[in-house]
Order: sequence, then structure tokens, then C-alpha cells
Amino acid sequence: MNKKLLSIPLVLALIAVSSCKKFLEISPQQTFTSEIATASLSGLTKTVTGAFSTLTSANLYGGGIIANSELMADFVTADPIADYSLNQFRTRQLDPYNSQSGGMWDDAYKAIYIVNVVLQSLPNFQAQNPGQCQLLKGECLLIRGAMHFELLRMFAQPSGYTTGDSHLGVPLQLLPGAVNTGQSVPRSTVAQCYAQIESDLFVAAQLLPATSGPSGQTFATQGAAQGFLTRVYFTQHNYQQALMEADSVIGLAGYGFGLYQLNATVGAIDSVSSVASSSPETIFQVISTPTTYYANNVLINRFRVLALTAAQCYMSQAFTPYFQSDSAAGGYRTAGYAPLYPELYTLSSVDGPNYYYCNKYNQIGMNMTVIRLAEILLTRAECNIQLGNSTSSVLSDLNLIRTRAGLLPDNTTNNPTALLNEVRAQRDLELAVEGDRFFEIKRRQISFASPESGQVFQWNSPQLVYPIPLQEVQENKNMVQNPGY
Amino acid sequence: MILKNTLPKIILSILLGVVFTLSYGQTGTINGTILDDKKEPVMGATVKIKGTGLGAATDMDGKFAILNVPTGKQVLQLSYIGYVSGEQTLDVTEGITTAPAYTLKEDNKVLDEVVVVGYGTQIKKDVSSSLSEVKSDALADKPVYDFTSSLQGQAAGVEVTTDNGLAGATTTVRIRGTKSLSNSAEPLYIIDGVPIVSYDISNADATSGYNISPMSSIDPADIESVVILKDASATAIYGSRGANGVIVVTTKHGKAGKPKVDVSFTTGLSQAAHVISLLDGPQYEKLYNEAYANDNGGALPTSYPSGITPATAANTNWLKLLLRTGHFEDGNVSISGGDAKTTYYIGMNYRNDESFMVGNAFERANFRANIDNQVNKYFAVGFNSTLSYTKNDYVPTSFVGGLGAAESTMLPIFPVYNKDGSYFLPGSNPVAQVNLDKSENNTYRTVSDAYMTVTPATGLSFRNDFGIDMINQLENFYTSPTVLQGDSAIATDRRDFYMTWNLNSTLDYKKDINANNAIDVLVGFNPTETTEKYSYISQTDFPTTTFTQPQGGITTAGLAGTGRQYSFLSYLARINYTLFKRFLFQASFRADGSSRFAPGNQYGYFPAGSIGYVMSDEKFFNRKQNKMTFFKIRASVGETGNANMTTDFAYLSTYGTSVYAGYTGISPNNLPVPDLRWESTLKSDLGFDFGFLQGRVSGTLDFYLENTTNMIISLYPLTPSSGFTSDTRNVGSLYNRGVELQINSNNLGPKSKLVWKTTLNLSNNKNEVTNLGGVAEVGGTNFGNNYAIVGQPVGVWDLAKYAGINSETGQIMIYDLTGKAVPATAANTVADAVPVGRPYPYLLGGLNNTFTFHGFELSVLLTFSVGNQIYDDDGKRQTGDMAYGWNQLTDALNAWTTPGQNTNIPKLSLNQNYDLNTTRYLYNASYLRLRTLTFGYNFPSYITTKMKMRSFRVFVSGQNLAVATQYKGWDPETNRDNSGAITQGVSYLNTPQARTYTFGFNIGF
Repeated sequence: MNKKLLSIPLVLALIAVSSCKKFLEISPQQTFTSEIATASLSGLTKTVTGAFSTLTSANLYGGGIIANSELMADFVTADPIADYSLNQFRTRQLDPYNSQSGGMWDDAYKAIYIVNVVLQSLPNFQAQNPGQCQLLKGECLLIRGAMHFELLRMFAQPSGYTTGDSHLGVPLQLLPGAVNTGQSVPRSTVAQCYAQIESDLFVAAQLLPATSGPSGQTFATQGAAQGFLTRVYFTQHNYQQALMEADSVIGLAGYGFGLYQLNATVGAIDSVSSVASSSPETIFQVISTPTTYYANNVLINRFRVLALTAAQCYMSQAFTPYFQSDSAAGGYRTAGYAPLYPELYTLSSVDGPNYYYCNKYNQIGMNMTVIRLAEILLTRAECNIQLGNSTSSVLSDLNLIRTRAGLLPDNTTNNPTALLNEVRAQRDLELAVEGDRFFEIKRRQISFASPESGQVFQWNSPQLVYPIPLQEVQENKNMVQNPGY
Repeated sequence: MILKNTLPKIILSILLGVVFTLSYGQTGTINGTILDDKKEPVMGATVKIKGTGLGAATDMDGKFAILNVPTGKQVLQLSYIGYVSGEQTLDVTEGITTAPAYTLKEDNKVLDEVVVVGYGTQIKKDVSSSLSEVKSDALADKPVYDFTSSLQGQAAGVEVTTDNGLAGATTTVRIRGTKSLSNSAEPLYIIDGVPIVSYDISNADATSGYNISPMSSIDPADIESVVILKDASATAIYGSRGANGVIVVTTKHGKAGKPKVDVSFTTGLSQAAHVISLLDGPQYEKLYNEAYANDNGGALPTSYPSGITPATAANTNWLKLLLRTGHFEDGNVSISGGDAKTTYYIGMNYRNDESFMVGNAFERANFRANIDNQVNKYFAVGFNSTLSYTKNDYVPTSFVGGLGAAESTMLPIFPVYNKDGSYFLPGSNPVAQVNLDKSENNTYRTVSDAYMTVTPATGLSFRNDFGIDMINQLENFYTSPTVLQGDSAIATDRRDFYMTWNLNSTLDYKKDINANNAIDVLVGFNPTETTEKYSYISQTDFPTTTFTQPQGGITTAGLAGTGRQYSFLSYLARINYTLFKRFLFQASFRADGSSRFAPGNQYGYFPAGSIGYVMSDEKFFNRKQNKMTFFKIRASVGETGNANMTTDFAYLSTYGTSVYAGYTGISPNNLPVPDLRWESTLKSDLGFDFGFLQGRVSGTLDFYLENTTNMIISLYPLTPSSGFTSDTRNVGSLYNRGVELQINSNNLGPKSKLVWKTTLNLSNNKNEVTNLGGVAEVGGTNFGNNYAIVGQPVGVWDLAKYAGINSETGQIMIYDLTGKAVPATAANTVADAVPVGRPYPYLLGGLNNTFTFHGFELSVLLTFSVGNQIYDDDGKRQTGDMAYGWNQLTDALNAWTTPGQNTNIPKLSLNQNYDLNTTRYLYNASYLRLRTLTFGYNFPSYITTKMKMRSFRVFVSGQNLAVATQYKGWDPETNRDNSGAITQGVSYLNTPQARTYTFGFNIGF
């Protein structure tokens, strides 16, 4: 035996074994991982951008929240729709298999998961760049608050359904879950949900900048958080707080001098079509990227009528009285005032009968407005009525909306009930097909007749609450399904 | 093995040959010649003078000369590898003594036949695990480009499905059933020690509707043997890669001796083995009119689809326009040989295959060099290398168009051209596609390895074998403006670079301790890594119509790229112990780490053991009385794994990118799955090897049970409020159990002049999913309604049961869940679907008979498959469904017309869509196929000698000459594109198999 030769295998084996220690530690070259995303502030910034991108989902602000709630309410109707899930909104007979309500649940919680990942990692970078951390935290809390709020509005009975809102809300996800944790978070009560939403939005309002600045990735401002808070309090009939938040949004400097101003023309939502030309009236929106992503694709397909093609949805008989009275008074929102004021509704018989189709989402590549000043003004007007404040404070807000829409200012109404009716009528008209009506029915606790069947729905009908998606009920051992499903 | 056994002799003789010897006293010189049986000189033989240090080696003419030989009687020892050594006595005188010409006889007694196993070889008799060997003669001269296709019917337990008959298409291989759902169910392929990429990396599926074979770059003529490792004892040494079985390919090596030149040439014609029967123009018009009349109270239509009217209706046989008689030519030249130190095998191959489909072609140029060198007593080196170029001309099929369109959307009433000579384009036109578009794949691949073996002591060897599999693939796609019906063409380049490197570092110690005890210990270390980089560019807006390459375009329509990377690091050990030469023990162990799992979970441990008992070697075993001359019992048990995941980082939370407001955002695609593990399969096997009548009849019988657990399900449901709806988990399990029988028989015995040999193999496999972790069903990779459902075989269909055509109404009826016949609707065909059928057969096998008489030989290979079904996923639109707008099978001529009529075709309608999944389209796909029929003639040696040839054979052969089946589609042997473990036995506008007629000759010099 040649003993020297024996050393060859031994040496080679030693080299091989020692050099292969890290051999199996391959990280992906073509895709980010959570480790990389959370390892730097720029990674977290991009992750927040990704969370905003999630908000543009067709099930969320990309269309579903507006389109499906409008179909459930009474102003918008449609002929029977071939799409199995979509037709369930029309008939208000959802089932837990519904892919659109289920998709909203999945996507909203996906967005919440993403911001929770960021919120968990942000403290690591506080010292490095406190300003950026503050911005990101504000944006994350805004998204978390907004998403919990949207889920709560659709998947639970509204505030006021029980005393103290002790009925079931939605699961509150405040930490990024994992395969083994976060799989069985139960539904909190509606009161608990609102408390968390308010807390998130309140902190967000303190952290977010007043304006998005000349450049840089700021997708939400203080006004957005306050705008959501206005809605949150208003929905809970908490008019005192809603008024305070509305005041903050509108600005104490007076109308027209605050951060936000009413657009000169009606129908703000159809006058904005790109990032650069953001409307001064817009308080929060989700933004399109030209040629890559159009935020209003879903709504275009639902509402836009073309010369030869009818849209899926058109305005119902319930909307006709509003339309007729406004039109008779020469209101721009219904009669239009060419060429300055585009027509918001088109009468078309492409589908056979003559229907009015809503034009608010007609332009390809629009941003999707979520909150605009007109809503806050009308909310403040109603708050002032509900709180018994002076008629003049109500009329000043109301007349801003009226005069812009081509109507004469109303300086005479001072009966609180008549005033409330007028403010609500203007609100219904102004915010029609913008995803407001369904939640107003629930807040006002009124009933409505289905434009399709004539069936009357009470505000608290279990059919007006989305079913918890089947998979959630099956996989979450603490989940309780809504009544009726 | 041969090298090692004779190594000392060779080295000694080499040393002796060069040592200068001092001489005493009187000496003389011996001159001599050494010849073989055929009186041909033997080069490199050794001649030694017994008891002295003298010796010499023969030269090219077989001559040798030994100087300074002491005078007197001397004993000459003659030896040469592969020949029986001998001694001759010679009286040496002073001066020159001329020895007579000595003859060395070729050693026909193969001492111990060896077989390739994982990381080494074993003596066949001592094997205690289950494996099948397919020798080169079963692979040679077949009219196929892919050796895996030739494995059909050759080995028990191996199911081989040639997916279709296109030149360059894939073959699906299953060893002992399907053992995975989400991971690949295909075996691991090892070529000369290198684990190779065995999946289709091209874009052929998306662009042309079928997959192309990654095995086509290997020339079947270069293959010496294919060993299929099946049970745990054989496969566990491959650890987490062995669960699906391992196919070990060994290429040809040279043998010491005169150079051998082998030339073979085959050429042939191919055609579609079976052509389905579709409506011609007038028949289609008849049925269209009938359907229209049914819908419109007897009225007749004034126009047909796509602007065709009764006046302009053509009668086009689209299939005929796309099918042709194909041809192929395949030439091989190999030179092999060597001397005692160095052996070589050089092979060259060129193949050109233009298949039976217009536009489809496969071309291969292949060069192989295998060289082995025994440097000295301690070192042996060598390399095995192949360089190959393959070119595939894709044709569109299936859902992409081409033949798929010709049998569906292209109605026989459509003309090929408009009156002005332009193409008639009702969407697509397969003739235009074939004539104007181009889809080409050029692949350059090398599978090569180099080794060095150090032998510090007898029986101890240390071998390092480093190999690579490098693929450089360039695909070019061009779609003409005419086909796009637009202004400009689109041209795309796709480049894919795949690199695998592998090191097998093994230390082997063999020792016959004494007459009764022998051991063989192997320990090894095996890192391997695969990297892929791929990119593509797609351009449009070409300045002229002559541009077909993307570099000339003005607008870049698409740019993309990605890649993958994975590594395995393995430590292995195996011990074989033979007691009394008849008790065989083997134990093996592999620790296998993979980059595909989270740190901490990377390593898996795969032990296996087997025992064998050669009972026929016992004294009590009276061979003469028993007529049984060989009997061995084997049993093995062990664990193997499967880490053939389609993604490389399933355990990580990976992020995808998105764009928001012009900024790039990232967001997680999935939750991290740190617990993710390989799937594991516990295999057990009981086998019997037997031989009767001095080996005239021999065979193998195996029973196996393979339990797969920790099976990965990639869409395991999560609570959606956690942010994700699913993740990947090891929750499933299934089992495969079966019986395999292989029998080889020399029916007329060794003395008969007519030699009739029969081999038969039969395999039965039962497969059942036992657990899916609470998931009701897991779907397949592609349409076709295959699922995994607990209690059912993998790939079971979930379909409503067809209840015939209602003779009163002409409606398609199904049985609802209560067994009542109801008209089929979109809703109830889903609601009333039940698990039915199986895509894998109960029984499959092959029967090969070979007759040789003098120089004539006839061989007949029959293959068969029993008990499997095919779901004809396009059939639902072709059997009486006029509303879907496709051409129909001629069966549709029997459509229901009058109440009381019993028929299998529903009432025709242009409104009533019958595009519903029911068992109406699930067909029995059992078949018996005349796979190969070959008639050859070997010219006798008196003729070949005159022609200065070693051998000369001519043959004619037919492949797929006949098939007996009930299946009416193209072929009962079929698989649609992108099939996975679950999606099997599905036809979607598939392409027929080829029938080929081959003529060829083999000449040896």
C-alpha cells in the first residue's frame, strides 16, 4: 500500500466538506424575499407602495367596493347578469361561495398583512431615518384603518344595530400572521372594531404630512386620514367628532383657502385622469399608472355605455325623481352644460329601453377617487343639523355644492327636517354611483325597494350584509358566520 | 471491474516491458507473433518469460521480440485482456529464435456479469435490490430520437408513453406508479454519473401546444445500457431524488483490441398511425342545415359561419393539408478500441427527421468521445463527453392552432385561399401558419464528465468524477403579419442557459476476506448545483417584411428574464456483505441536503437495506432434479424522497412586484413555509430471481408496496383573514403497490439452429390517494378534469355519468346522484360529478419474440396497456355539438332526428351548447400494439471476410404497424402538453403517433 497516496482522498475530502458549508444557502436571484424586503428602509418603502397597489385590486378601490355596493343599493340596477357571483349582488342573495365578496375579504386582509409586516419592521430603522419611518407608519396605519373599515361596513351589521354596537364585527389583524399563527382570529365586536379603526386613523393623521409635497412617494396625506375619520364617526352617528374631523379637513382658513378646493366643474371624479393632474377636490385616491395599470377598469366595464354596447349597470327608477327635479332646475349634474360641464348621465337605448347610464368613470386611465371634498362638506352640513347648530353654517356648505352644480343658492330653508332632507338629497345626487348610497341607507336606517323586484329591504336586513367567505368559516375555528348564510 | 481485476498484471507487464534487464551467460532473442482465433494479429498482448523479469508487448502486427533471453527451455506466458492466458514452452538458442505463431483464444466465459448500480457496479448475482436492465440492442436502430421511447415494453414496472408522434416530442415515464401530486413524478436520469436536466425547458408548450424532449440530445446508439433502479435498496442511495425511480444510462466504452469501426445507417418513412374521421364539406353543410332547421322550424340557413354561404362553401380536408409522408435519415459512425492502457470510443451521429406533419422537423448532430486511461498502478483517468446540437422546427398543434385548428375551428367549408389568392383567415388558418410562421429551437448541449481514480492499495479506490450538463438553447419565433392580421410581424428570441455541475467523490473498498466472506464498502460525497438564466426579447414594427429576427424591430413588445438555482449536497454510504457466497446483505444510507428547504430542514436521511439469498447455491438444492438451476430471494425496505419541486424557494416568503402611481412596489406572494420538507416514500419489495434448464428460462418476480407520505400540496387552504388563502404543505399521502414479472426464455434450447427467444414482462400497479390533509380534491396542471381525491387513484376524473341520448327528445342525459337520468346542464354536470376511471393501466407490458436462423432474424415486439381511460377533452365539442362551431367527427352524422330513435348523438342545434364534461367522452384506452417488427439478415463471415468487414447486417423494420383498441381518437397512447402527475390520459386536439417504415444496415470493420 502506498500510504502517501491515501492522503489524496483525505485532503480532497477535507477541502470538499469544508468548502461546502454554505453550499446549500442559495437565495433567490430573481425575486425578493421577505428577508430582503424588511432588511432596509427602501425595501419597506417599496413594500408600502406594494400595499397601495393592493388597494387598487378590482375587489377594493379598483372598483368592487363601489360597484358592488351600488348594485346592492337602489340607485343602480342591471339586467340579469350571466356572471354567477355578480348577479348575486343584483338579487341581494349572496352565498359564501361568492367570488367577489370573498375576493374583497381576501384582498383587504392581504393589504392589512402587508402593512403589518412593515409596521413590525419599522422600529428597526427609526434611528436611521425618523422622517421616512413616520411617513411609512402613517401610510400603513391609514391602510390598516381603511381596510378594517371597509370590511366592517360590508361584512357586519352597521353601527346602531345593537346597543353599544356589541354585535359582531370582523377579525382585527394587528400583527403579520404566519402559517401557524393568526389563523384563528375571532370577530371583534363592532364597537371594538371602530375603536381600533379610529385609533389607527388618529395616529395616521398625526404622522402623515399635510401635503404630498413636490415629489417623492407620498400616497396619503393627513387629510386622507382625517377624511376617513370623518366617515368613521359619521357612520357611527358620532356627529360631534365627525364635525371636528370635517373641520380639520376643510381647514379653518375658510372655504377655498384650505388645502382642498371644490373643482370648478361638477363631477370631480371624471375630470382627473393622471397622477399629475390631481384634482384639488380629491382628498384620497388610488392612482393609475399610464399604460400599465388603470385604476378604473372595473368601473368602466360596469358603467360606460358605448354607441353599440350597453353597460352592465344603469340608473334605476329610484334615482329618477332626483334626476328629474335637478334637471328641471337646470342642474349641471343631470342636464349638463356643454361644453364646459360634461354630462354625467347619458340616455341611451342601445339596450332596447331608454336608460340613463352613468358617465362618471368613462375616461380610460382615471385615478379612482375614494374621498373628495364635496362629501366632507355635505357630511359637515348634516353634522351641523344633527347637532342643532346654526342654519347658516349648514347653508354655507350646502350652497357651495348647489352653486357649483348650477343650482341657485338656498338661503330660505331653515326647518331642520326640511334642511336635513335637502342636504341628504344633494348628497345622494352629488355622490351617486360613488359608493355612498348603500352605507347612507344603513346610517339613515331607512328602507328601500329593490328596483329589480320591488321587494322592500330594511336597513338592517341580513341580506344586506356580505356572508363571511366559506374558506374563512372552514379554516378559522373561531369564525362565526353572519345570520342567514 | 475488468480493469481492476487485471490491473496488477497489466501494470507489471508494462513495467517489465520497459525495464532494461542485465543478462548473464548466453542469451538469445525470441521473435514471435500472436494471433487470435480468426488468425488476426493481436496488438498489445504481453509475453513474459516465466521466472525472469523479461517480457515484451506485441506491436500492431502482433509481433514481439524479447532480447537477452537465457538459452535453454523457457516458458512464455501469454496474456491479453479479454483472452484466455496461456503458456508455451520454447527452446531458446543463441542468436535469434523464431517462435511459432501463438494463438490466444477469446475469453467467452463472462466471469461475473456486472450491472451498473448507483455510484458503482455490482456483480449481477450478488444484487439484492430490484432493478431492470435494458441493453443497447433494444435501443439501437429504432426510428426514434429519444431512447426513453424505446423503453416501452422492455422493462417491468416502467410505464412509457410517447406523448405524440411529432419529431422531437416528449415521452412520459413512470416507474412503479405516480408518487407525487405537486412535484414531478418523472424519474431521475443519470448519464455516466451526471444527474441531468430531464424536463422540457423550452417554450414549445406555450407557442406550439406540445413539449419537446430534453432526452433527444442523447444519441441512442451511444448507449451501452440503461438500468432502471426501482426499489428502496437501489434508489435510496439517491436520497431525496430517488422516490420516482432512477434511470442510469451508461454510454459505450472502447475495449482493448483492434480498432472497431461501426457504421450504421437507417432511413425510413413515417405517417400518422391513424387519422380520425371528420366531416367533409358537404357533410358539414348537411349537419349545419339540420341543426339550423332544428332551431328554426325546418327553415334552411342562407349563410354559414365566417361569411361562407351555401354558394361559396368549399370542401377542404384540412387534415390532409397538414399531414404528409415524413422521412428520416440517421447515420452513425463509431470507432472504438484501445490497448491495455488506453481505450476509446468515438461516436458520431447525424439525424434528420421530417415528420408526418408539414413543417415539423428534428435534426441532431452528436459527437461523443469516451476515453479511459490507466496511467500507472495507482492512477486511472478518463472522460466521457458528448457535444450535441439539436434543432426542432415546431409546428402549432392543439390549442395553438395548426393541426389542432384543422380538426376543430377550421371547418371543411372554409377555403384555404380567398378568390384573390390571399389566405382565408377566419381567425387563424393553419396552412398560413405553417407556410408563413417560424418556430425554431436550436439547442447546444454537452453532458460530460472527467474522472480520476486513485488506487493506493488493492481493493481500495478513490474516485472523483466531475460532470456537467450544460444546455444553451436559442428559440426563435416569428409570426407573420398575415397570420396576425395586422400591420407588422412579431419576432421573439428566447435564450435559456442551463448549467448543472456534479461531483461524485467516492471511496470504495472491496475485500474478499476469505472464501466465505466478502465485503464492499462505499462512502461518498456528492454536491450538485443547477443554475438557469433565461431571457427573451420580442419586437414588432419591422421596416420590411423580410425581418424575422427581433433585433430588426422598431418597437420592443416584450422583454423578460428569469432563472432558477438549486443545489443538493449529499453524503452517502453503502456496505455490501456476502456470506458463503449466497447470503447477500446490503445497507445504504444517504444524508441529503437541498437548497429548496429552509436552513434547519435542509437535510433528510434516507436509509435502506436489503437481503438476498441464492438458495440454488445450497447443497440441498438439487439442481438436476429440480430443473430449477437458479433461485434467489430478495427483500428490501428503505426510504427515498422527492424534492423535484417546480419552484426552488417554496419555503420562503417571496415577493412579487407591482406598479403603483409609476413607482415599483413589492408585496409578498406567500407566507414563508419554514417546515416544508421533501416528500418521502417508504418502499418495500420482495423479489424472486429464477432460472430453469441451465438458464434457458429465467425470470424475475417482484411484489412491491410504496407508501408516500408528506406529499406536498401546493394549495393547502389557509384562513384568508391571515392575509393569504393558501400555502404549500406536506400533508398528503398515497400508496402504490404492484406485481412485476419478467421472463426470458430461449424456447428451443441452445442446440437448436433456429433460435427462438421470448421475453415477456408484465406489471400491475394499484395506486390510491389516502390523505390530502382535509382538502377535498387537488386539480391537475391542465384542463381535463383529472383530480387527486382520497380513496381514488391519482388522476381520477370527476365527471357526471353519461346516461345516453334521450330517444324522445334527443338530449344528452346524465345520471344524477340518485341514479335518475336527467338532461345534462352546465350546473348538474358539475353537481352530479363523481370520481370515475383511471388514467394509468392496471396491467401493462411487452412481449418480444426473436427468431434467428443462420443469418436471418425476425423480432416482434408487442406492447399493451389494459384498464386505463382517456378523457377526450375536445371530443365534447366534436360529437354532435354544432353550437360550439367546430368541425365534427363523422359519428355526428347519426344525430338524433326523430322521437323513438336510438342513437348516441344528440339532436343538433346551433343554440344548444353541449360543451359539458361527462363520461360520454371518457373512453377505454386499453390497447395492444405491434410496436416493432424487424426482419434482418446478417451476412455470414465468409462473405464479410471477403469484403474486409467484421460484420454486415441489413434490416427492415416497422414501428407502430398496428394497434388494437376501442379508442376512436388519434391514438390510445397520448398525453396532452404540460401534463403533470395528476393530468394524465387527456387528449385535447392531440397529435397522432407516427407509424414508421425503416430500412437500415450496420457494418462493422
